[in-house]
Amino acid sequence: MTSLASSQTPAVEASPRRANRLRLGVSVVAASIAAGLLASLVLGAVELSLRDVLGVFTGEAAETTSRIVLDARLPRALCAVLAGCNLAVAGVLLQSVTRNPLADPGLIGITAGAGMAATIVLAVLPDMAAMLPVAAFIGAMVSAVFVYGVSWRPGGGASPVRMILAGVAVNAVLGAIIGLLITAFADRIPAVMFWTTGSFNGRGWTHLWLMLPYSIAGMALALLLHRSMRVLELGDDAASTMGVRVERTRLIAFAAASLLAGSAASVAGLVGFVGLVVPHLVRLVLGTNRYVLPVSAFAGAAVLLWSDLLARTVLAPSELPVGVITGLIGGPYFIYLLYRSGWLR
Amino acid sequence: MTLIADTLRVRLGQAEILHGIDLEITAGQRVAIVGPNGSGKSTLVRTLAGLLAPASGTAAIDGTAVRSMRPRARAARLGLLAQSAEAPGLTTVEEHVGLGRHSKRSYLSRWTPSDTKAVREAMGTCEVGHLSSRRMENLSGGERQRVRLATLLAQDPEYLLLDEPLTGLDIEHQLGLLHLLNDLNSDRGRTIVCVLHDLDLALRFFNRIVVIHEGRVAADGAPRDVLCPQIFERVFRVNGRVGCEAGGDPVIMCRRCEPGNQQRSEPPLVEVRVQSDHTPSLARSSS
Repeated sequence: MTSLASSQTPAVEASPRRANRLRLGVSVVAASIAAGLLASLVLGAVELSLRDVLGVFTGEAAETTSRIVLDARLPRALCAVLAGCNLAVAGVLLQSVTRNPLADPGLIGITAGAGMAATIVLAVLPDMAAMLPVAAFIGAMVSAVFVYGVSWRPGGGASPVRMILAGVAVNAVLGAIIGLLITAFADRIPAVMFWTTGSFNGRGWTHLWLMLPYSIAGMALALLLHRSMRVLELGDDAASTMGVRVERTRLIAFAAASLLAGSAASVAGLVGFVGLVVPHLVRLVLGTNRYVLPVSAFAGAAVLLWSDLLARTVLAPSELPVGVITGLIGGPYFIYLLYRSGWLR
Repeated sequence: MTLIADTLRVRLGQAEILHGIDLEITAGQRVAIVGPNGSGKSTLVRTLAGLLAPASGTAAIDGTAVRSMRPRARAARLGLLAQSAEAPGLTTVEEHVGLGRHSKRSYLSRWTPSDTKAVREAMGTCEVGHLSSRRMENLSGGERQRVRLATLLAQDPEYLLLDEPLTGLDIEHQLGLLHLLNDLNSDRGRTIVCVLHDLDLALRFFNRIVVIHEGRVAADGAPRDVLCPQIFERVFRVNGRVGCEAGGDPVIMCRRCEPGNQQRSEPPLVEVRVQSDHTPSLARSSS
């Protein structure tokens, strides 16, 4: 066989630098989650020592301490971990499926659907506040189905551009309705605002179990589609001739992202930044697209876990919305990373 | 094994681009598809690849319509190097070529040594092995084109459909690619269907030429038979013929028809050829 030109074929060399970056990144994220979980159990309104917390798991702690750790702090921390995972993976899926680096559950209209449903419950039907997570999840799903339906054409499927445009339009309409409801029920603005900026205050095992099945389903679909999604980034035509069922892959990826983002929003409210920025942050650190999905899942968990920890300890005993923390710290840090990597120079 | 277009009509929007194309490409052939701009060459290749649904007629491989085949099965039979494709960011050359193995792997299968071997072979063949760690966005247009070809080779389909593959390549790599296609055809039995604009290269490197004009097959056959003065004049609107250069190699000689003077008997001819087989740096098979 000839080759394209006449010189000898050089050997293919792996990139040890990139492999080291991956190992370092995964190690840092894993350590950060472990440390965050431990800190979440120790820190809070009631001061506990590390020994108190360890005593809970060895059966030596007082009942009050056990209840604080097992019924309040642990499920709350796990909710933050799972929601962070969900939002970051949803971001990876949507950025891949739309081939748009700005895509996240907020741009596509999924969180706006959850937001409107939650606003209806909080502002119009406050007696049904217990239904808030379920309503928010249903709102997210209805919005997602509507966006996909609007962007779908017979024979052509749902194009990335139409999905984004439909999402922006749905965001605008639902945002207007939320504004209208807030204006009409002005006395309930604080509750709505607190929910729409995201919080894990009072989240327990019930919320975790509510989120878990959708998270497992969404993650399983994401992992199954991971390879096809990477091929899809080459464009629809190339992906199709390389063996990808383009329309089906896009539909399933969109459904998985909706399940993940919808379930996260139903428990955490509308937490911005994580779905959009964590995947980019992971790409910048790793320098490759190859492991973005699994690493983003863990990075999203770490980011939201530490953000929640800060949200409930910075102004303790008062609590900040977790979305405020993710935006205030994550945004500037992301700009720093962009600058360091040369994207802003 | 045969790839067939049977009375193929294809519409893009309201416009009918192909008006009933009949074509039969048997395994092992090396076919150049040529024609003026907008004649329907790319539409034909994209339809053969299963990307476009015919308005009527069929594109089929061994009697099975390509649109009805499962994508992975189709990818094992037909591969397409499209005119352009998106290069995903933060993807290295080796990762890009590795994507070509997608159809060979099931959803849950792991990357195997044979995948690595196929990727390295494809990169070596296309002279991009030394770029393996480079990111796609940092490559030149020609380098990207070679990486895309390597990705197609890693896919390893029986039929290679190439839509203007020489775009962006310098003359050495143009000739190198055409020799490579020849070798894939003669050594590995791959069937080559290649859209080209350069009639001289089509004449030299392919054993069958299909001329598409206004969505129909205007001529189909051996290169010297197809590239006759009538086809030059009717399809390409130039005065041309196949001549011979000093070494005996065929060469196309042509000049532009002057409006209203297309029947002039002896127009002065301009030679438009490439020094293919005499380029000192040209790659040659060791065999």
